[in-house]
Parts: sequence; structure tokens; C-alpha cells
Amino acid sequence: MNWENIIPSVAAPSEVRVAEPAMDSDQFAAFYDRSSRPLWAYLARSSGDPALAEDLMQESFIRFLTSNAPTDGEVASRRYLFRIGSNLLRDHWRRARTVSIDDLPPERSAAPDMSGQCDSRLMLSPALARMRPRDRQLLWLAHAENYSHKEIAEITGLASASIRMILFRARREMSRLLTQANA
Amino acid sequence: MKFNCNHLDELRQALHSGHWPAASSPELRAHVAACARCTQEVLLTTAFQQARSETVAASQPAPASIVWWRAKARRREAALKKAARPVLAAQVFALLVVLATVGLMAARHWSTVVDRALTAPSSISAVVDLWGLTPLIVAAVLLSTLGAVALYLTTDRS
Repeated sequence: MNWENIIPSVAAPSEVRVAEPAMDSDQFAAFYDRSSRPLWAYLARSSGDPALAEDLMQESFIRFLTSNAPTDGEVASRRYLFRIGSNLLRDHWRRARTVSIDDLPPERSAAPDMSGQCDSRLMLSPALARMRPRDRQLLWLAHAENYSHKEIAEITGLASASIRMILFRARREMSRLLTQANA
Repeated sequence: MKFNCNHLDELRQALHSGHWPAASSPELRAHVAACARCTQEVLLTTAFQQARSETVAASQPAPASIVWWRAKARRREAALKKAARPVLAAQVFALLVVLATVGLMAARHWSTVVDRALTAPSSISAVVDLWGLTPLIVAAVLLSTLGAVALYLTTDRS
């Protein structure tokens, strides 16, 4: 006796209808080729951990493919992808401790200094490592990815007004550190 | 330092399009030299763009096919879980019906069972009278068995 015979509405495993993603495999390959490196860079620079960035990047793409991703162009898709990555990063930081990401000290999540791998002429890595995780995220999105406050709000889930204030303070601190490093 | 500057949009456009500083207007360059906010923007954006280029060049993402395959497996797993929801609901419902039936029957016939059990050893006629409980005992055994099977199926998610 089989449950599938008793309850007709239940399909057999081979008959289960799997939801199709928003793009086919070729479209995805092209999108992945254009978006995976910038996403990895964002996650690696925000977390300071290249291995973690690789894991989170793959998970971001998997969730992107299994969710109702936007279908109105690559810009929106990429922004959605960054949003997934930001949420995963936030979950990772929260998992260890039950405090707000804003209260995390820089050394808590700075992890290894990536300057050995990616040696910025302007000593960005050491300066970034001294910033708080949230500041690193916002600075990267604003200055490396050129996202507007509105787009950053969409990606991080923060209010635009908060982003303006956090970025103002973060810019001031970062430019001080960069100026010191260059001196 | 100012919170904002009227030339920021123009400067950002020049920075991100690669026109800064060579292809920018002399007015903009003169303004940036005198404006602390715009100087800060140039310092930060130049540093972050440089870091982005280096980090992007250093990245070695896994092949897209692996991510595609993993996503496909995840979607299939989710679909199976969704399809199995009616089965789980039916199993839970069956278990509840069995437990309720057993409970009701036990409550209804408890005094009879106890009385007959107490008087049974005293006489042969009482043993004969026990045949009247046979259907109840059979039903209880049957329901217990079905309940155990339902419980097993409910908990066996694999």
C-alpha cells in the first residue's frame, strides 16, 4: 500500500513540478559571469574573509535562482543579488552573537587583512579593517559599486536617512585613516 | 565639512565614468581643489575603485554550472517538501482520529472493564461474560496498531 494511492492529489516524486527560475541556464551563466566577481569583492571586502565570501556568494546565487527574482533587467537583478548577499552576511554576523550588527566591534568581523591578496595602492585594506562592518558595507556600496542612497537602502534594508548619517561619519573616518596611511 | 555639495553629482559621474581628472572641466577641478567634501569624495572613490578592480581581478568564482545544479537540486527539494504537505496533514489527521477514538472508547467503557476485571477471577460465569468485551479489546488492539503506524509515518520524513 502506498500513500500516493490513498491520496490521489499527492504526486509521485518523479511527477513533482519544479518551479522554473526567471532565467535559463545560458542567461544565468552570462549573468553569473558579470555579477559573481563584483559580489565576491563586496562580500570579501565587507567581511574580510575570502573563504566566507565564496560560500556566501554561491548561496546568494542559489537563493537568487530559487526565489522570485526580479525580471525587469540586469540592474534590478544585480541589486536583488546584492541584497541577498547583504542579508546572508548580516545573518552570519548575528549567528555568533545576538547583538545588532551596528554594535559589532571592527576586530570582531574584520578577520584576516586582505592586503596580501589585493594590495591597494592607497592602503585601503588596513583602513577598511579598522572600520565597523556596517560602515565597510555602506562605503563599498556607495564608492565601489556607485549605488545611490535609495539603492543602498533597498540592498541593506536600512532607512535612507540612516544611510546618509552613517555614510557621513564613515566617510569622515575613512578619509582620516587614508590620509594617515598616505602621509 | 559640508554634508553635501552641488557639484557632487557631476563629480561622481566623472569619477565613475573614468573622466576624472583628465577629461573633467577646469571649473570642476578648481572647485574640487577648494571643496573639502569633493576632495573627500575623490579620495574615497579613487581608493575604493582601485580596491574593487584588484579584488575583482583576484576572485576565482566556482563555475556557473555548479551553482546552477545546486540551485536546481534546492528547487526540487523544496517542491518535494511542498508536495508532501498533504500527506503530512493526512497522517496527522489520522493519528488524531485514532487517539480520539481510543480515548472516547476507553472513557465510555472504563467502568465496565474495571468491574468485570475485578469480578472475573471469582467465577467461571464471569469469564464467559467477558466475551462481551471481545469486540472492544480487538478494536483497542487494532487502533493501537494503526496509531503506531500513523505515528511512524508522521515522524519518518525521509
